[in-house]
Amino acid sequence: MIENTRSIDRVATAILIAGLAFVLAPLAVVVITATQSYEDFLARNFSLVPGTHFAGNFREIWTRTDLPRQTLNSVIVGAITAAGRIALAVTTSYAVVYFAGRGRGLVYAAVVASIMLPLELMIITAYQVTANVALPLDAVANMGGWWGALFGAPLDLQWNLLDTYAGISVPMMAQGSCTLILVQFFRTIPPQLARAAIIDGAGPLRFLRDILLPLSKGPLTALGIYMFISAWVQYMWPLVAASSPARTMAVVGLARLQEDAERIPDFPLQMTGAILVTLPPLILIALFQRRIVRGLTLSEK
Amino acid sequence: MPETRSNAGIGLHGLVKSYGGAPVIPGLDAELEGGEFTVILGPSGCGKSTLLNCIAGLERLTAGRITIAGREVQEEEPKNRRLAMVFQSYALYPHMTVAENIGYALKVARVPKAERMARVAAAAKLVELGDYLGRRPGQLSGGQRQRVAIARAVVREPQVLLYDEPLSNLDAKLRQDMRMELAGLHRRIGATSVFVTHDQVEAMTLADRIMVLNKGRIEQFDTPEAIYHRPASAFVAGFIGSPAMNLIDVTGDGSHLRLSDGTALARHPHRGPAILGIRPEQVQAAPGGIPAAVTWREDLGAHCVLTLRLGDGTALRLATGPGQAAGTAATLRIALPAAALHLFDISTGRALAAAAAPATMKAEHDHLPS
Repeated sequence: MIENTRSIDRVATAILIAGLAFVLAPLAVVVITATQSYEDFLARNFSLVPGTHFAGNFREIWTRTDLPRQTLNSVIVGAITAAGRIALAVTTSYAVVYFAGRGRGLVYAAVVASIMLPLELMIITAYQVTANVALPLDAVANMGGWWGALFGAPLDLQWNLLDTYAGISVPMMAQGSCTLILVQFFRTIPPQLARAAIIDGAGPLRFLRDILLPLSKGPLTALGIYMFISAWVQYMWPLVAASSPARTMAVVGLARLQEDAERIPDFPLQMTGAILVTLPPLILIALFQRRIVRGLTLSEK
Repeated sequence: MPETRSNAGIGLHGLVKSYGGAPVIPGLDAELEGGEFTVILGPSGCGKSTLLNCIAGLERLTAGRITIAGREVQEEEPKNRRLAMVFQSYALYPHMTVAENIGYALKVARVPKAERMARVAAAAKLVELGDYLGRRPGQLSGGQRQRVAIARAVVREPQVLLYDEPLSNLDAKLRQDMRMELAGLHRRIGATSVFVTHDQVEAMTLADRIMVLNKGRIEQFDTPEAIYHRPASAFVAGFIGSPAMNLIDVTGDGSHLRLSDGTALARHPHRGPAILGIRPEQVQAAPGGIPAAVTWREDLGAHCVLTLRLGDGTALRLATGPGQAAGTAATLRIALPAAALHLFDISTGRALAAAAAPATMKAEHDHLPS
């Protein structure tokens, strides 16, 4: 729709500016506060006058807190989670779109339903299983006590993944939104390509590797970045799954910067930390901005 | 490439294909000879693409056998049937260059790189694509993409080449050029070719033999000449030829074929109801003939097509000879020459043997559809 009426232009501009102000104002407060020193802050409370202490705040964050290490944790967990989600989504979508198996509609529905079931809902179960991955196996083996009757003692396998990268990221992988989007994308790829590949002698895995994945590069990149960021901002599960500062993720670490409830919080330091934690996803988006937009229009031309 | 003729004939024996109980092909037998160019012709939904996919191995048969070069292949993977296929929408891999597209099958088959390059170059040369090997399909025109698709098929030196409506995405001019090229290509590589189309012109010009398919059954499987001049059924008669053959319900009294109002259309010894077929170009204007009202006039330049209404309301089309003016008269008298008549059974639509028109209708060759 192209409208050239001037009044509409003006109103639109005004709305955009208002929206921009609404979104940017908290960020401005964050950045300004990050430049103040704790002493400034104690003296003047929140103020919009920028200070000169940003370098000092940053140095303190970098040398005296676990945040740099935790940012690295977030990068690692985010990458593992994104990769896992994509890998699951590719295989599921490939099966749903290209293979006429029985019950594939059911599988697809179940995967999509998982979008409506956030990890937070099952957090206690997830915690139990992560604390002992063998728990379901034990439960089945000890059902009715037959393992104990057979071998003298109930099966008691232990495999604790709490406070490990795998323990944090694997439960976050089970999420269906990638599958939903990839299925839609795969359906836009002409089915004759698959037939041509069959005639050319390519098996299912060959087709996936040589044709489907290269064609899906755009959406996969976009999804990967989205999934990385959505793992980055997770709070609840990383809070529960990782207890040591060495495995804690950045967002959780950020919230833990001020644990001493007696003191007035060092807001300038926290805001500096917030800037550090925001940077990696921001850089990622800046680098891949065009690919993200192109990837999500779901067309490959 | 040497002029060879593949001797890989295709045999279809009791072929049945149904989808969820509904038969698309209820049972089909045919022998396609080695090196022959067979066109499968039929309206959409007649099962022609299904038949092709069955031969290719892209669809599993419900029952029946397929042999290629005498070997049963219905349980074989497509890649083991030594065939190649050209698709309607080209189905090129968009992310690969022309050379990669053409060479993909060889790459999958682990043909050494040097040989692969040589064969890709030869195939590209065959379809005159040598200069475009580094481009991607998105940078090519429709005709060029079609050539890539053909090169991709011939590079594997298949015994059997399958074409699934390959020209239907091209514009009219290009289609004509590609038709000629396909015919030339077939002469050069001599693979047994099966070409699916709904376009009678493609069928008439390309085929050694045409298989006319209707609702999954073969209506007629014969040379283009026989299909045109001796249609085996009213369906074939109405499907081939442009404008289409007139098909009129008549009743024979032993000496004449009459319309429902008793008007005698032509002399014929047939008794009982039948369908009379006559090509529009063989309906003649004749003083003292049957009176007919002209209801529509189409001047196509080379000739005119008149739509006439006979006494009982039956519509009949008449095509004038080349260059012959249609006149402006509102009524016309016409005659149907006995030699040009086709008679079909009223219930089965099959040609009635006695009515088969003689094959020596010399004048008809001028009227092949174009």
